[in-house]
Amino acid sequence: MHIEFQQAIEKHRQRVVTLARYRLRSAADADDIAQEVFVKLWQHWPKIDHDKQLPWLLRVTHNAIIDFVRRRKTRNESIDDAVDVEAQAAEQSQFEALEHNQLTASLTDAIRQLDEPFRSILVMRDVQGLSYADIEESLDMNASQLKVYLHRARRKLRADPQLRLRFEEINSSGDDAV
Amino acid sequence: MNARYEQSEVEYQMSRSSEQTQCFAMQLQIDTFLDGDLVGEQQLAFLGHVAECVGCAHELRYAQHLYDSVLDLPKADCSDALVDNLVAISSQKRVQQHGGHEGHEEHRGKAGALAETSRQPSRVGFFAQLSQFFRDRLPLTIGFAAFSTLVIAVVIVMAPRVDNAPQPLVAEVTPDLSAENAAMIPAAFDAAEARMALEELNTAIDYLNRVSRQTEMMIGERFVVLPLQQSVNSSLRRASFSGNEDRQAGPI
Repeated sequence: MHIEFQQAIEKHRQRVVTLARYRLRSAADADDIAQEVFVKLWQHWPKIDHDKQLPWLLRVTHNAIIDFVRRRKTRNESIDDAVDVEAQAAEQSQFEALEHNQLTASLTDAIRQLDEPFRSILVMRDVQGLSYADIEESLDMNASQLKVYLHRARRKLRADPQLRLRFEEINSSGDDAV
Repeated sequence: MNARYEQSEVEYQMSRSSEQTQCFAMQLQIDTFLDGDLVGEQQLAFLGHVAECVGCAHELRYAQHLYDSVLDLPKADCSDALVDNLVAISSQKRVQQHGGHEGHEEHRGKAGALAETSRQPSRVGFFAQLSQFFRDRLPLTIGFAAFSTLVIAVVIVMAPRVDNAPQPLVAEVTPDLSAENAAMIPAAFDAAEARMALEELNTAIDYLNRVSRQTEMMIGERFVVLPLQQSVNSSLRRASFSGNEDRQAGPI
């Protein structure tokens, strides 16, 4: 059981953290969420259907993120934002390095600003490439609902003015180069 | 001349509106096309429209670019220290299935504390919540129970004794033991001891009966008569405060 738990962490850690990371700015917060989720996995290990381990983890992660954001909203948001900014400035992970690309940064911001469940669906499907079945299971939706939400999420993303601006810049610079 | 111009203007607006509707319908299919779910005639119609319409072609290029960018977005990962911490938690002690977390205290960081307080994925039952409530507030519960017991004991002791106590429910005088009964008593006790023990037992039962009757009276007075009196008095007081001085203001 202990070995299996370790294997589960190795297998799913990236998915859990990515889902959290596309909602929370701070990597430390995303790590907290991941720890919370895996502690719960350990606590509920005997009761979980391990064929559906990934959907279970995604569902718990999704709920943990919502709880976390709700708790944070009750605190002083200005102080919290300042902490976030400091934390963000301090982090030098690969994730931040890649965010230096302007389009990627705008895209990440736009995804963070999406409402639920659009953001989770978009991150699970397009960023993480999870199967429809796993997403349906984790968010308790049927296939048609999921596709409608996914298409709507993509349309919302395309409607983001910052993203469109970045694209136009890239497009015009490409035209100039030609 | 003017009428012909208006007619052509209407036709132009209609055709423009039709084009816009068609573009809107086509742009709704962009995601389906990018997912590869658009097939057959629908795909041909879509591609045909995109080839002719500059706006839709631009929108498709933008969507394609964004789609590719999202696919290339980085995946985040947690730190190895976190994984080590989790592994340490799991290897130290098996977590008890229902809320036992003793072995984790020293390994718990901020997130560990969050893990225990946050929402469980499955709904917790009423009795589980109740037991958790009492477990969380155990000192308070014990204190309250002790205080209540003390108050009840004081009330019982201080309550006036009823002099006209009715007949005891058990016999006050035990008849003499006959020879047959005496023979049934084990050799370890003689008849006088047995008699004394029975008398003490009678006394105790009698005392308990009296206490029970006093308690009944007290409870009846406290929980039935007094609230009723208070209710009536407060009703009368309200009636007197309402400005009607003719009504009776005092208690019955």
